[in-house]
Amino acid sequence: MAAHWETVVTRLVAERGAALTRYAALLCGDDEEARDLVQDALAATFGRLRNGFEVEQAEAYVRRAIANRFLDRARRRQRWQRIRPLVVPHERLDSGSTLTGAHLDMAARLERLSPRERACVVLRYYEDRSVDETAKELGIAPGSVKRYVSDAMAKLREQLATEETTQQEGA
Amino acid sequence: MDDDELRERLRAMPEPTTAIDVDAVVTDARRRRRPKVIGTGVAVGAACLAFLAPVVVPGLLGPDPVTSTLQEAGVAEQGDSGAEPEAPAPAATSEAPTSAEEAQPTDQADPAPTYYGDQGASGCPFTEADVLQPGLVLSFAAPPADGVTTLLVENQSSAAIVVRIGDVGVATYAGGVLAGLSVLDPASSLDGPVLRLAPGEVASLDVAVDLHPVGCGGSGGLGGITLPLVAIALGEDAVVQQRLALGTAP
Repeated sequence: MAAHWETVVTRLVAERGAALTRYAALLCGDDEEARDLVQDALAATFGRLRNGFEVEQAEAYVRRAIANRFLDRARRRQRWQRIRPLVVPHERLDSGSTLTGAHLDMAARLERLSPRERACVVLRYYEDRSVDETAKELGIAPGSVKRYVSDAMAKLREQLATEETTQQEGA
Repeated sequence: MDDDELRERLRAMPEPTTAIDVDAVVTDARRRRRPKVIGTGVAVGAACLAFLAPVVVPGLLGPDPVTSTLQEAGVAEQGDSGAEPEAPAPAATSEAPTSAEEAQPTDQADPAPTYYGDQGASGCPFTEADVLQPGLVLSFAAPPADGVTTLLVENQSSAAIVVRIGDVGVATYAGGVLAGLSVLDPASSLDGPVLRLAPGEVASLDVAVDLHPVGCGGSGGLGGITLPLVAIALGEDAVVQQRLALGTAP
């Protein structure tokens, strides 16, 4: 017979798996990486949660684990990117993304934000969390959340203005 | 772009096409749970061995010739259980610490680790030096009776502290000595939030608590005062130092 936590993880994936993957995809910008992020967060969370947790409680822990893992990976990636030009020749790869048009634009715009800015934007505007909830989720101060959101909005507006200017010049 | 437009654009992005492999998740989670189960089994086994050894070993060695001779001669033996009388607990471990500062080892010059409980023969898997974190005060806001509670993390030092919180368990004191500890693995459980605490700042976290401490082999048994035992990592990247930290009574 499956343990209680196994039943909970199966139910969580069946009921909320798509929402968790979408949340992770908005954070990291890549479907495959999002799936890895969610699976890793689920395994880590249920690797330590005791019995007695239900789906709703477990989902909150998994979401927090996803955000933390995303920021950890981004931090490691930034370190790698700093030294990458020294050891790897530049190459362009097809991301395999199926995004098109406006969706592709939005994904590209989000990609230009820093990981923390992106996490704050997703939590505030996709998950509809308050500033305090976002701060608690990411383990940072509410003031930092406001600053990251403000910086992100400024960057997004700047990108939009640049795109509009380019389009007008093209027309 | 205003707030509503951003919200709308984020929600309009398409659903990811990838699916979660629940079997892989369950297998991975089982693998992560196993070390704790093995650790608990080893610790319980060691505690049982320590408890039974004084009785079993003299029996296996056979009767003491002098005692046998006395028994054969009809001389009654007073209070022979085969076990040595227990040494009194050292002063450093006779009381539960009330704060991180008070709980520091009293003899800083002595490099030898001091074991809680039964002086190293116990099932307690780490030393006093392992579980102390000067300046960082951890406490439960409420008793973690149902396995979930709020952990209070206070920086009582004069400098800022960056700490990552991992697994949370309990240390139980009974009769003034450490009676049991949750088996936590600081190296593999540090995926919790990173806290940046200014001097005097207190953070609160909702945490799951391991409520199954392993006995340390002391005479007090499990129960009594329950303090938090937390896997932490210190430093900006949270990889500088990984250890366990013992909390204080609220």
